[in-house]
Amino acid sequence: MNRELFASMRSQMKPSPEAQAGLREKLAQAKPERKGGHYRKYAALAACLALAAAVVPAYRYWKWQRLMQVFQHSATIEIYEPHSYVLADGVGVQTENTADTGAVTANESVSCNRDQDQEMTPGELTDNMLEAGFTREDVDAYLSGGWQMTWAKWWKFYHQSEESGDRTLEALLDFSREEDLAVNTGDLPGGAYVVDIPVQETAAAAYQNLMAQFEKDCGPGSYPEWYGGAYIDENETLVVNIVEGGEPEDKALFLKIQDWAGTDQISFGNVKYGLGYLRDLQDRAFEAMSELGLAAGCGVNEETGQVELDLSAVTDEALRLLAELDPADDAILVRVGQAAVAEDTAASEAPDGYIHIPAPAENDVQPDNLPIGPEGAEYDLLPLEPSGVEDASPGE
Amino acid sequence: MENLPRRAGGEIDAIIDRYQSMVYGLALARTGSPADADDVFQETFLAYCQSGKTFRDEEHRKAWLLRTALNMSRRLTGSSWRRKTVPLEEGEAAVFQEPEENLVWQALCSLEETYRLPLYLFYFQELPTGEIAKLLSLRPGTVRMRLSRGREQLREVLKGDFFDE
Repeated sequence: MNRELFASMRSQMKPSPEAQAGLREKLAQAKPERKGGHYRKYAALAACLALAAAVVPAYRYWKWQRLMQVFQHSATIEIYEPHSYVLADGVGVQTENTADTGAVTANESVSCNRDQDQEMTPGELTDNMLEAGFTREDVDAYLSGGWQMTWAKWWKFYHQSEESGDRTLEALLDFSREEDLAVNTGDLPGGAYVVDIPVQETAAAAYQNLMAQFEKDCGPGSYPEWYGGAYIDENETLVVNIVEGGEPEDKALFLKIQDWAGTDQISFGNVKYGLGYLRDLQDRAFEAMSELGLAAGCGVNEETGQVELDLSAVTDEALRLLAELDPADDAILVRVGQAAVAEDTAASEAPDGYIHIPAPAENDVQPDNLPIGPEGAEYDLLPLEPSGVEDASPGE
Repeated sequence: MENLPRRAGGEIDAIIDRYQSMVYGLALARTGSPADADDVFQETFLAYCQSGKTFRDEEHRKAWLLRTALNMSRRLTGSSWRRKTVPLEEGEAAVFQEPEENLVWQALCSLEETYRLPLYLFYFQELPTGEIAKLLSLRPGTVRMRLSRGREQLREVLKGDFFDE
């Protein structure tokens, strides 16, 4: 190709004078050179690399911390000292005759079961007999026999007699003998007798007065913090438990209690926990065990100042929850039905440190030990000393 | 040839005088517009002054300026705004003084960019094929092939005029 032509063209390839002037103007305004530009670029690059390199270890550290938190939380659970418990035959199978005041049982959640399992009070039996067509004389005659009728037995007799048409006092007595109903001899654990109601009348009245004063001062179902419960002892004296550490030497309180009760025939005892706390603990423990499907019965024993919790079986989860509720392991007495525990081979024997309480066989039931009261409120006040349970108290 | 400072920024007027036609010509060949070529010329030398770069020798500086001018041209013609506008008919305006020069230039601009840039760099800037290959990131064989085909196309457009052989 023509090189001269290209050389001529190349020599004419020049930017316009305006462009050249503009360039010089821009160069005059611009910095002559950008010193350190490379270093800034490299520094930025290094910062990015450092950040990227730090992200992964930081994320791993954060993840590790989270894992450690979870692990520590788990470890905390694992090192929980499980709550103690005792094994007792029949617990959770039969809930009647529990003298726990304000007892709550699993059966109470099903009203029909409750009715069938509960004993009938004399008043209830009287009403039902009269409704069933018995005369007042029949009722008095039957009650004088001391038969201990239950709701289940009563409805059994009721339906049987309806079918046979033989609803007489003789038929009821025969039924009672056939069903081997316990005969209430009137004996009570402290030497008291049901027929000796007037003996407890003073103590019961004092208790009612005290409750009325509490309801007035604190509201229904609430108690003063110093109040640890009350029961009637073997001498038919109302024993009012005062929470330890509250006002043990405050005689003014004792005088006030006597004033509220309306009698000075009151003894005082000491317990660790207040009744309000125990009631709350009772509700929480029963609710927790009900969620696990283990709760069989629960109530506050005002004499011992403990929640008595009956379980149909025991699991690590249950003991852990109970340990959380009762860290000192002395507010809840856990009794576990042996039959249920025996299903678990690992728990077929009482672990070290736990006490096995053999329950009496059915034919060993001593009628004398059946705590029976004529009225519900006074029935609650009756002390219960189940054989062997005393020794199983975790505090002892 | 006068020795110029290796570090960018020094003796800028001398640098511009020496390389302005090279930078402007490449921009003109790449964009096809004298106005765009003016812009590329300004941007290239502004970048040169602000780079703070130190060059090994003049070949290094020349290669850097060509490469920068090429990049500036691509940035200018590749912008979305540029692609959506219709340029005025400025290609009709005479760039060179002689009619035959304008004829050759128009013939060169009518070729595809694939052939136009190697032809410009080879014939106008008189760069060897190896340098062209480096500048355009091509293999030397590819550059030679494009030169051959571009020359054939140019010969065809110019009907054999201005060719020595």
